[in-house]
Amino acid sequence: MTRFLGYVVAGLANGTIYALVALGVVVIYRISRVVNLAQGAMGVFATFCFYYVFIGDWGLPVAAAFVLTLFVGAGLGVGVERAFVGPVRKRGTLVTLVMTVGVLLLLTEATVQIWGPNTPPIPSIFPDNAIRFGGTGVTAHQFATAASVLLLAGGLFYLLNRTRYGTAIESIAEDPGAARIVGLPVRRIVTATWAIGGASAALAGMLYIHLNTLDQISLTFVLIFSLVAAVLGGFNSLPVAVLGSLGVGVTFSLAQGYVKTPGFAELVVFLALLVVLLLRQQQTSLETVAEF
Amino acid sequence: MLRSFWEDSAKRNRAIVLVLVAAAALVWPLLTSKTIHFYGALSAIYALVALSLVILAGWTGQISLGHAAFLGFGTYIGQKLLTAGVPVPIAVLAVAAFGAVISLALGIPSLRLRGVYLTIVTLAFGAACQRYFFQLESVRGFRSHTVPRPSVFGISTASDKGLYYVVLVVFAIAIFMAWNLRRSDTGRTLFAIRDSEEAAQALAVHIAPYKIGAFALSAALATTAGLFYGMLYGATPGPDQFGILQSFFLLALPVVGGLESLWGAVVGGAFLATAQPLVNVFHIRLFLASSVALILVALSGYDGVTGMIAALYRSVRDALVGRERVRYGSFVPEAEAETNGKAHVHVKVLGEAVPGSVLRLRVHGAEVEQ
Amino acid sequence: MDLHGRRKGFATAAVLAVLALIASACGASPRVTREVEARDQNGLSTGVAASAAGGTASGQLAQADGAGAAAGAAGGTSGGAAAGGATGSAARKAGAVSGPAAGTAGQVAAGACGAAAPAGGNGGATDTGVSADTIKVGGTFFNGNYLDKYSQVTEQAVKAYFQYTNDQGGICGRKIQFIACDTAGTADGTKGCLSKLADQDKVFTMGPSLDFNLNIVQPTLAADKLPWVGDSGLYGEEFSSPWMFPTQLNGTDVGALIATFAGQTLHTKKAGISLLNDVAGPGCTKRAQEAAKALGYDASATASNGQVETSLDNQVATLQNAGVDTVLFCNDPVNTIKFIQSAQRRGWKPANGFVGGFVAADDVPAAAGSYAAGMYGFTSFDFYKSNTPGIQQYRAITENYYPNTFHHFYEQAAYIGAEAIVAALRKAGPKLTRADFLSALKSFTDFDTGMGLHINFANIGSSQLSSGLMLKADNSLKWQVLTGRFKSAA
Repeated sequence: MTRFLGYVVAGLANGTIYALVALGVVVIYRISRVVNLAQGAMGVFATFCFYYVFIGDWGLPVAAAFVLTLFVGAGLGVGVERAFVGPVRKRGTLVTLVMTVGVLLLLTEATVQIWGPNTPPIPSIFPDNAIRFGGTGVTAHQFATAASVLLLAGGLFYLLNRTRYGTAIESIAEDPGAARIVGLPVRRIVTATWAIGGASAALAGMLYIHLNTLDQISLTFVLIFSLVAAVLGGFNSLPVAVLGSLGVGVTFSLAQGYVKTPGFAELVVFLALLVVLLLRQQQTSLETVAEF
Repeated sequence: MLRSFWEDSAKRNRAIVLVLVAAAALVWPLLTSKTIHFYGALSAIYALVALSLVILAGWTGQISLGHAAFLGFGTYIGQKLLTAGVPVPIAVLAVAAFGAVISLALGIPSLRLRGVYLTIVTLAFGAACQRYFFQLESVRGFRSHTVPRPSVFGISTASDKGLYYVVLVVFAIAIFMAWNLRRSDTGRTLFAIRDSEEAAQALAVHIAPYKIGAFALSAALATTAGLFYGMLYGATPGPDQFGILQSFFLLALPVVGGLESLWGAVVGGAFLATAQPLVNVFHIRLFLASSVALILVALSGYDGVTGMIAALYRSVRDALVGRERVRYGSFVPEAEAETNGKAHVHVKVLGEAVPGSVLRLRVHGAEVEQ
Repeated sequence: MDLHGRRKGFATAAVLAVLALIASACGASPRVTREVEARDQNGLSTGVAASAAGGTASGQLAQADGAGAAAGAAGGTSGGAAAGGATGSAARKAGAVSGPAAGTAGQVAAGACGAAAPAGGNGGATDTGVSADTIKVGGTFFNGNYLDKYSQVTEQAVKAYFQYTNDQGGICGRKIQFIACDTAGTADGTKGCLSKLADQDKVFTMGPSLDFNLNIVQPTLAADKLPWVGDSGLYGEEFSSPWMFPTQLNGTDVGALIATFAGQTLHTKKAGISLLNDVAGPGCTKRAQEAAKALGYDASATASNGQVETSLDNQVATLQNAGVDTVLFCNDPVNTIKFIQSAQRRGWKPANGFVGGFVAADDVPAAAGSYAAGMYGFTSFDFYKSNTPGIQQYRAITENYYPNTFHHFYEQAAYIGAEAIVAALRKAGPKLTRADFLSALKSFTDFDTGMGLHINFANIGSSQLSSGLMLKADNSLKWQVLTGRFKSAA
C-alpha cells in the first residue's frame, strides 16, 4: 500500500509538470489553432537565461530572476508568433506545425551554442524541504508546482470562459476577418495570448528543470504527455487538460512502478489513449477544432 | 489524339520535363562515384517517405507525428523477412501490408473524430515504438542485426547503385499510382475533405473512410521506405533513429519540397538525404542550417522549392512570351478533370479575399459558364 | 499570401539569417576547425614552429619521465634524430612500465623504420590511402550534435597526437593526414561519412572517433576490408567485429568492475543497478550481476530508464523499496545525475552510496548537487588530472596544440587510439599495406596505453586485461583518486 501511494504521489508530481506545459499548449492552440511543438524549447531557453544570465551574469536574487524569466518567456512567445507562426498561419496547419518544429530546432541549437551542454543544478524560489508521506517524500517545491498549476489553470479558465477576452479569442480563432470587422483588436489579443503561453512555458521550464537538471531536450518529451492529456479535453477544456495530465502522470507512474519491462509505461499511455478515443463519441463541442 | 496532345503546350512541356527528369535519374549514377550513389539511394528512400507525407498531409490535411516509427517497423520487419530468404518484391508487399494494418489500428479510433486526434495518437504511438515495441527481442532488441541485400529481378542490390535503381523503380510505381489517384474521383474527394469537411459532408461524402484509407496508403509507403532503409545500411539502426524527433524532421520533407506538385517529394527527399554532406562542406552545424532553411522556405510564401521554381518559370515566361491573360487561383491539381458535359471545378482561395476582387479560372478546351 | 505579408516574411527572414550568423559565430567549432586546417595546410612551416614550441612540451615530458629519460637515450640509437620526441615517449613507456608489457609502442617506434626509411614500391603508394609522403586516416565525430563540446575536444586530441607524430618526422617519412567528418550524431551522417572517407578520400584506415551509430557500420567495413582503430566502443557490436578495434573499455566490463569494487571495498550486501535500457546498459548490468554473484552478494534489483526520461522518481523508488545499500550505475552521465537528484528529493542515500560506471567527467558530481558528495566514479584510464608520466605526456601534447582544450575519458580513449595507430604503422614498416598494418596491430597483445590500461588488440572482445580505478567526489564535488588499479572478480 505504501508502494502504491508512493507511485501515485510521484505520478501526481509529474502530472503537475505535464499540466503546466499542457496549459500553455492549449492556450496557444485556442488562439492560433496550432500545436506549438516548440513549447518545451521555449521553456528551456527561458530557463537557461534564468540560470546563466540573470543569476549568473547579473547576480540577481532568485526571486527577481524568476519574475524576469516569466517576462522573457512572454517575450519569446510574442516573438515566435510575430516572426514565425503568424506569417505562415494562413498557409495551413502543416506549414504552421512545421514552423514550430523549425523554431524548436533553432531555439535548442541556440541554447546549446550559447550556453553549452552543461547540466548544473538550478535553484528554485521554493525550498526543497521534503514533506514525508509514508514511504515517499514530496518537496515544498513540488507542492508549489502543484499550487501554481491550480492558480494558472483557474486564472486561465476564468479568463477564457468568463471574460470578454476569452470570447474574443474564440472568435478570432474561428474567423479573424470577421473579428476584425466587428472591431476587435485582433493583433493585440493574439499577441497577449502568445505572451501568456510563453510565460507559462518559462514557468514550466523553471519548475521542471529544478527537478531534472538543465538538459535541452527532455522538456520536449514532457510535451508528448502534455499533448496526450490536452487531447483528452479536445484541446478545448482547461480543466480536462489538467485532470488528464494528472491521470497520465499517475498511469505512467503506476505502470512504470509495477511492471519492470522497459517502455511498458509508454505502451500503457498509448493504449489508454486509443481506448479513450474509441469510447468517445463525436461531439458538437469539438467543432472548433475541426479545422486542424 | 497524339497531335492534340502535342499542341497543348502545357501538356507537352510537362511531358518533356518528365522524360528529361526520368533520363537524368537513370543516367547520373553511371557518371558518378560510389559516395554519391549512397546519397542517391538515400534520397530515393526519403522521397518515398516524402510522398507518403504528401498524400497524408497534403491531400487530407491530417498530420502524423509518428511517421518515423513506420520507417522503423519497415526496417526491422523487413530484416526478419529478408533474412528468412523472402524475395524483395514479396517482402515489400508484406511490410506495406503490415504498415497499413498498424495504421488502421491508429486511424480507426482517431480519424472517425474530427480534429487533432490523429496527430496526438501518432505521437503517443511513436513514443511507444521507440521505448517499447522496438526494444522487444522479436522486433529489434539490443543488438544490431545484419540485413541481407538480395538481387531483385536480376538487379544486384549489393552496391548502393543497384539499390538506388530498385528504389527508383518502386518510387516510380508509387508516384504513378499517386498521380492517378489524384486525378480520380477519390482524389478529388480527398481534396474536398481537406478543404472543408463540412462542405464534403454536406455533399453526403463519408469522410472517415477516405481519411483512414489515405493514412493506410501513407503508412504502407513509409514502411516500404523503411525496408530499403535497412537494406541500404546492411544493418538495423537503434530505436532512437526512428524516434519522435526523427518524425518531426520527416514532417519538414513535404514542406521544403512543396505540397502541390508531386515533384515536391523528390526535392524534399533529396534535401533530407544530402543536408549533412552539404553542411560539412561549409563547416556549419546540421541542426542550425536545416532549421534556418526550413524556416526560410516556410516564410518565403512559396509552396516549397518546387513552388519557387514554378514561380520563377512563370515570371521568366511572362517576361519572354508576355503575360498570360488569366491566372490560376486553384489548388485542383493542374491535371485536368475530364468530363462529358459540365465541368465541376473545385476552388480554394488562398489567403484573404480582397473585397471586390475577381476570381479567375483557366479552363482549357471548354467554355466557361458563369 | 498578399504582397505586404510576403515582404514582412522576407524581413523576418533577413533577421533570422543574421541570428543564424551570430549563433554560428558563437559556436567554437568553425573557428577552431579553421585554425587546425590552417595548421594542416601550412604543413612544414608550422611543423618547424610547432617543434620549436614542442621543445617546451618535450621538455616537460623529459622532466616527467625522470628515470625513463636515460632509457630514452639508449633506445634512441636506432630511432635516429628525426624521431627524437617519439623515442622520448618510448623511453617513458620503457621506464615507467617495467616487464614484458613494455613492448608495443616503444620498441616499435625505435625499431621498425630508421630515420631515412625508403618508401616502398609503386612510388610509395603501397596501399589504399598511402602515398610516398602521406597516410590518410579517417574519423567520425558528432560535432553537429548537442554534445559537440565533448566530440570537439576528442577530435582535437587525435589531431594533436598525429600532428605531434608528424612534427617528430612522421612515420617512415610519411605524414599522417587525419580527415575528420561531422555526422551530427545521426545514422545517415555516420554512414555517409564512412562512405565519403572510404570511397572518396580513400583512407588507409578509419581512426579514432567519437560517434553514435557505430553499431551499423560493420557490414560496410567488412565489404571494404577497412579497419577502424580507436573508436569509442559505445556499442557491443564494436567489440565483436573483426574490423573494429575500440580503445575504450567494453561497457560490460565496466559493470563487472564496479560490482567488484562494491563487493570488495564497500562490502555491499545488496546492490541495486540503475541502467540505461540501451547501448551498453543491459550488458553492463548482466556482467555486474555475475560479478556480484561471484562475490556472494545480491544485485538482482534493477531500475531501467530510456535515454530521455522526464523523471527518474520511480526508478529511485524501485531501488529504495528493494532496500539496497549500494546503487551501481550502468547508466549514462545525464541519467546518473537525474537519479541522484531524485534520490535527494526523496531524502534517500543508500548506506554505501552511489557507484557511477560512466561518469569520469568533472561535471557529473557538480551537476548532481550535494548528494553526489562522496559518490564513487569509475575510470578505466588513469584519471586525467593525476600526475603519472603517461597522463602528463598526454596533457602536454594535447594542450600544446590546443591550449584551451579540456579532458574527458572518451577523449583519452581516442588519444590512445591515435597512439595505437602510430605504433602499428611504425611496426608495419615502410612497405605499408592494410594486411601488414592489421597484423602489426594484432601483435600488440598487451599494449600499454601509457594511462594504466592495457589492451589486447588480438582479442579486443576479451576482458582479460580489463582493469580500472575508482574516484571519489570530495565535498566540493570534484573527483579525487581513491583506489589503485584493480581487476574484476568475475
